[in-house]
Amino acid sequence: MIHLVKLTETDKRILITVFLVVILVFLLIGLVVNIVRKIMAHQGRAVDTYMYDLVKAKVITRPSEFRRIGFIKNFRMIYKNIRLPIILLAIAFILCLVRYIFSGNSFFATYFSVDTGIGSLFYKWDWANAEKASILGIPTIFPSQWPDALNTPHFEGNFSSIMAYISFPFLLVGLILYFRHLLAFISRSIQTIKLSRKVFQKNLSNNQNIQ
Amino acid sequence: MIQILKTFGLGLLCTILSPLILLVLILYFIYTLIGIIVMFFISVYRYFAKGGSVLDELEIDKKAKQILQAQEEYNQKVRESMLNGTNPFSAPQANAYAPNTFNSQNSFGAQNSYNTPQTNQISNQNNSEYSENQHQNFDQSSSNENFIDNNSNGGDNL
Repeated sequence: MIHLVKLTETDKRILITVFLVVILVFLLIGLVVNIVRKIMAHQGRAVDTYMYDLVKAKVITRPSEFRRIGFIKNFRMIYKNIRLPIILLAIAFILCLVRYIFSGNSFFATYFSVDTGIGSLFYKWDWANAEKASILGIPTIFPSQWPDALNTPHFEGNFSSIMAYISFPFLLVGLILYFRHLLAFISRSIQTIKLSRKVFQKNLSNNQNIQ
Repeated sequence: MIQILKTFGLGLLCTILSPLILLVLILYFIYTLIGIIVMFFISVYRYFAKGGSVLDELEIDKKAKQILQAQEEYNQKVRESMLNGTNPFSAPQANAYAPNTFNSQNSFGAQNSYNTPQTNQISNQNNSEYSENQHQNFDQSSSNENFIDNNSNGGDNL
């Protein structure tokens, strides 16, 4: 039997590991997407609640009208819900502005840095210089061992870092809440379009008594 | 196993489409941000010009609420008349089609159902109460009809 490719024991281990990691990553992404879809379906039910009376009282009789009122109510709802994240983001923005005025460090350049930003609170690993695994002598992008730590969590005492520490929770919570309400807005938009087609639809195909 | 494969496929699909999903999210982010800013200015204008809020109840909601309330009151009165032992099924029809013809002919030329032998057995006292109920029911039903007729053109008045 001729062996064109001869895999060593290490090559086999790396291949199996890469294969398992790729499957696990896609499975995890799929699970997260499934959860997001369920959350969105739950959020979309708000449309049923706020359009129920209008359809029941027959003040809305056309799909286009349903979509128009649904759109108005959707915007009113997001305007009502989004105030808290907007306030949090505004506080974060003001803190970043104060940080910029008094230290001269701009947001995008230094906010996540180790010396003057919130980077000092997190681990930082040297992924760029980590030893890469190779299969059949060809180097891959996957590191063969855990890289060295460039930074371990610690507090920096300078003004710029302190302002970054204070503003970061506002920024993070504000963005998460904004994203949540944005998803709810998209869910309600989808549900409004779906319901506008379904609510006024008349179906004769299942009625056995019609002659 | 099929479920795991489906989840894996969904993950793969979302990874491939992730730039598009991200683009849609960013566009929605900008769209809602502009919408919120516009609504903020509208709310400020409304507050100073009309003294109201942009989150006040819509006109169409008020109309729907009134219609549903009127319907509920009407149904309540019909239920009450049924509980009083009066003729429950002919009452709404009589109200709808023969508003001014109690103890007389209705608009289709038929005798009013109150003159049937069965209803004539009701005591005079009950008859008078019943007539009052019917008048009230008719008033309610005609007001309901007016509501529905006036509002059948939907949210055009919004």
